[in-house]
Formats: sequence, C-alpha cells, structure tokens
Amino acid sequence: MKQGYDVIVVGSGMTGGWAAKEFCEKGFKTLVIERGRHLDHPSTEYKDMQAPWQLENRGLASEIYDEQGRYRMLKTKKKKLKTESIQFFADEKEYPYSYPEDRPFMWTRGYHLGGRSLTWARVSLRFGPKDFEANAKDGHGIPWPIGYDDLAPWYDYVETFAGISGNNDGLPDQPAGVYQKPWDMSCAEEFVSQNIAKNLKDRHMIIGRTANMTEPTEVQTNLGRTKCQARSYCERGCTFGGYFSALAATLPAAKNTGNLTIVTDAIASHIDYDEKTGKALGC
Amino acid sequence: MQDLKISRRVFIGAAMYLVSAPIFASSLIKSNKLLKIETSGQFYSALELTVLTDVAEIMIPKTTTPGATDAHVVNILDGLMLTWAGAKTKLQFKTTIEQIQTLANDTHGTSYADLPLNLRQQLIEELDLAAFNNKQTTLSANYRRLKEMIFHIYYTSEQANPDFKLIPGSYHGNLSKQDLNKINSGFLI
Ligand SMILES: Cc1cc2nc3c(=O)[nH]c(=O)nc-3n(C[C@H](O)[C@H](O)[C@H](O)COP(=O)(O)OP(=O)(O)OC[C@H]3O[C@@H](n4cnc5c(N)ncnc54)[C@H](O)[C@@H]3O)c2cc1C
Ligand code: SF4
Repeated sequence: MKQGYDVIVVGSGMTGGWAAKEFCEKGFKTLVIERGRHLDHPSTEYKDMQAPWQLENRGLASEIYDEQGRYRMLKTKKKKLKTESIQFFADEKEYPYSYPEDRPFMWTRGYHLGGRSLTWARVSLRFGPKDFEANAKDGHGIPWPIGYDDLAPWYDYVETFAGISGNNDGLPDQPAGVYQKPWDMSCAEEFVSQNIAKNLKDRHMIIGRTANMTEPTEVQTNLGRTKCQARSYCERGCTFGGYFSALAATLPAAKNTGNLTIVTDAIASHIDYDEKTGKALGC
Repeated sequence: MQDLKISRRVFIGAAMYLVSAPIFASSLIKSNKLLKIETSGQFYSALELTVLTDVAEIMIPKTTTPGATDAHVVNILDGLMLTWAGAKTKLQFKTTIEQIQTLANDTHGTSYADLPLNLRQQLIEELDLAAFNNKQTTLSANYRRLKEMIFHIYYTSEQANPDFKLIPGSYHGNLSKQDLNKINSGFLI
C-alpha cells in the first residue's frame, strides 16, 4: 500500500532536522529521506566516551587512506585523519564531485543521519543589521528583501530551542541573543581582551557564542540533553547531547510528535514538480 | 570505485577494534642494563624490539612518572604497524632501527645491544641533536617520525594519564592556585 505524506524533507542535517521538527510539530505527516546510514542518538559511532588509549589505533586513522589517495580534502583541512571522527566525513574519492579547474571548491560533507550537524564547529552568530543593508549600500549582489528586525524573532526562536551559550556584549554588529551562561575566558584570553579594550577602542574580543549548552532548559532536558561537560570532544559525537545537532535535538523533537517517518540509505534523485500549481508533488 | 580496498561500511564495522598490546617475554641483562626482548612481535623481530624498547626508554625514562616501557609503548607500536602504518612508515621505522645499529657499529665497533647504557644514551642523545639540527637527511626524517610516534603512544597511554577525567563536568577558565587545589581535593567551586 502506498503511504502518503503531507511533507517530504530531503536530507536530515541541520536544515532537514529543523524542517522535520517544525512540520511535525504543526501536525504534518512528514517523511525525511536521508541518503546516508541510520545513526542512533547516542550512537555506537560516537567516540566521546573513549579515553585516548581506547581509541582505535590511538586515534590515528590508517595510513592506507593516504596510500589510496582518500579523504584528501579532510586531510588538507585537519592535517591528520583521526579515528575519532573520520566516520562522520564523506570521502570525495567515494563520492566524487567536480568543479572548474581554476575555481577549486572544498566541499566537506557528512552522509549519515544528522548530516554536518554532527561535525559543525557550533559557532552560532547572528547577522547584524549592517549585514542586511550592505548589498544595497555598496551595490554588490542583490539587496536583501528582509532586514534584521524581520529575522530577529526567528533567531530568538532557534537559539531558545538549540541552546546557545554566549554573552550580550552590547555590540551592534553582534546583536544580543537568547543566550545561556557564557563560557569563561582563560586567564590569557582575559588579559588579551582587557588590553585590546584599553588600546583599540574599535576592536573587541568577546567570548564565543556556541551551541554548547551551559544551562539546559526543561525542553532540552526533556529531549534527553544535558549540559556540556567541557571536554572538546564534540566532533566525536556527544552522548550527552551537550551541543546542538539534528540527532540530539530536532529529530527527537520531531519524533516525539508521532508524525515523523525517516528513511535512510535512500537518495532523492529528482523532485516531481507541478507546473500548474508551481508546487512540488513528491520525489 | 574499484580500487577502494576498505569500504566505508567495513571500516565503520571494524571501528571497535583495539590495538592489542601483548607483553613480550624479556630479560634484563644486568651487565649493560638492557631489557632484552626474547620473542618476535607481530611486525618486529626480537632484536628490533630490543633496540626500540631501549631507545623509547631513553627518550622517555622512568622517573617519578612512568617511562615508555611502563606505558607499553613498543608493544603498542608493534601492533600499530599492522593496523595503522602504511608501506612507507613500515619501511621508515625498520630503516631507523638499522641506521641506529649502523651508527653503533661505526661509532663504537660493536652492536647497539652490546653497548653499556651510558654509551647507548650518548648515542641517542647525539642522534637526537643531529636530527633536529639538520632536518634535511633521511636519517633525520626517519628518526623524528619514529620519535613523534613514540611520544604519541606514550601521551595517549593510560599510564601517562593517571588523572585523566573522561567527564570533567565543568570548565574554569581562570583559576587561582588555591581554587585549583580545592578542586583537586574534591571540592566543587
Ligand atoms: C567542519 C565544519 C564546521 C562547521 N562549523 C560551523 C560553525 O561553527 N557555525 C556554523 O554556523 N556553521 C558551521 N558549519 C556549516 C554548517 O554545518 C552547515 O552550513 C550546515 O550543516 C548545512 O546544513 P544543511 O542541512 O544544508 O546540510 P547538512 O547538515 O550537511 O545536511 C544535508 C543532509 O542531506 C543528505 N543528503 C544530501 N543529498 C541528499 C539526497 N539527494 N537525498 C537524500 N539525502 C541527501 C546528507 O547526507 C546530509 O545528511 C560547519 C561545517 C563543517 C563541515
Ligand atoms: S558538547 Fe560538551 S560534553 Fe558533548 S562532546 Fe562537546 S565538549 Fe563534550
């Protein structure tokens, strides 16, 4: 029997996870199609609960990858291939892509449930008002059809659910957000920051705004997430759900509604489009 | 994709594999304080393991903290040669051992394993200095690579990390010495 869905979301990463959550919470029967493999949360592929001596090959990925010319992009970026995180990156030799010779493009991908939301660096900055006005002012590109004020409530919405730590620093280019307690600066960072403040009035060194939770809300703990344990193991996947990812946050929230179906190991190859209505029919 | 010998799935399936560290049968030669390894490993011969064990212990000697031998550095290295090392590294590390043997013979007219401890220490110290002073030679490249691996294995060992906490729970960016002492004695601040 053919099962119908109100919505089909292609990809389960950062964007797909949010789309699935929003549609499911608004009562739409939602299908998420993900090209990569299924991952649980917490996953047996997470390596955050392994001590350095427990990591496969003491953390070093096999040199056979080098010999076979694999994971070149990742190697260029990270210098060393590591067994703690290589499983969350796509190998361009296995999944090749093309670009013009003179315009090489480094495309870091993660083909699994959750996509790159597992390996992103968690820096969570808002655009400021100036960013929306710059195109119109300097004549480059297309002027934004919206301004900061249109987007601000949505930043609030996303930050509240995701759990972002940071400080409201009173800087117009880094607008205030809905932040959990900021992380401490180290004594060296404090020293540098204070000296910059003393000597360079138009420069500011502030603590990062990061999707590592310091004061989880009830909504977050109800999803099984706990505060970040300050280990810097995020790229290994986080058993605590301490940082925001589709696996730890949006997909579980979508699942809790009973409206979510996920199909993994399935590539959406095309989208059926209805010219008359101007809408997608399926894929 | 025909040339991919390890598929992504097989790799992930095998991800729980841990490098085994069998303890090699050994005896201490009292006359020159050398730990002689009696049996071959998975990759290295008994003689190569003897030289490696000695060199690693000279690099990271046991003091008030564990040494390379305590941390089973060479046992782990022997396993890693099969699970991690590519052909170039395998050759490079074997060659380094041969080069150390040749140095011992050329300098003292005897094999490395027969030298007294002070001469072995002196030989490795001089090799170390030369390797870092002139990085252009093959010997320098080989030696520095081996040294890097010995330290990597040591620093990632359980023995070298007695205070390792998998879940520290919190982060304090700027602590006074008194606060740190408090935390180390079990207080929450
Ligand atoms: C190492 C790294 C660090 C980063 N750091 C930051 C940061 O600090 N701050 C920040 O804001 N951003 C950061 N980013 C960027 C951020 O992660 C991405 O912009 C974001 O994840 C993109 O979301 P997405 O949903 O478009 O793609 P993804 O999160 O990659 O999700 C795409 C998903 O779609 C699946 N898919 C693709 N094609 C198909 C198909 N045809 N059919 C079915 N499924 C398909 C993929 O398998 C994947 O699961 C970082 C990215 C990387 C790689
Ligand atoms: S979010 Fe925090 S607890 Fe989780 S892996 Fe990252 S540092 Fe560790």
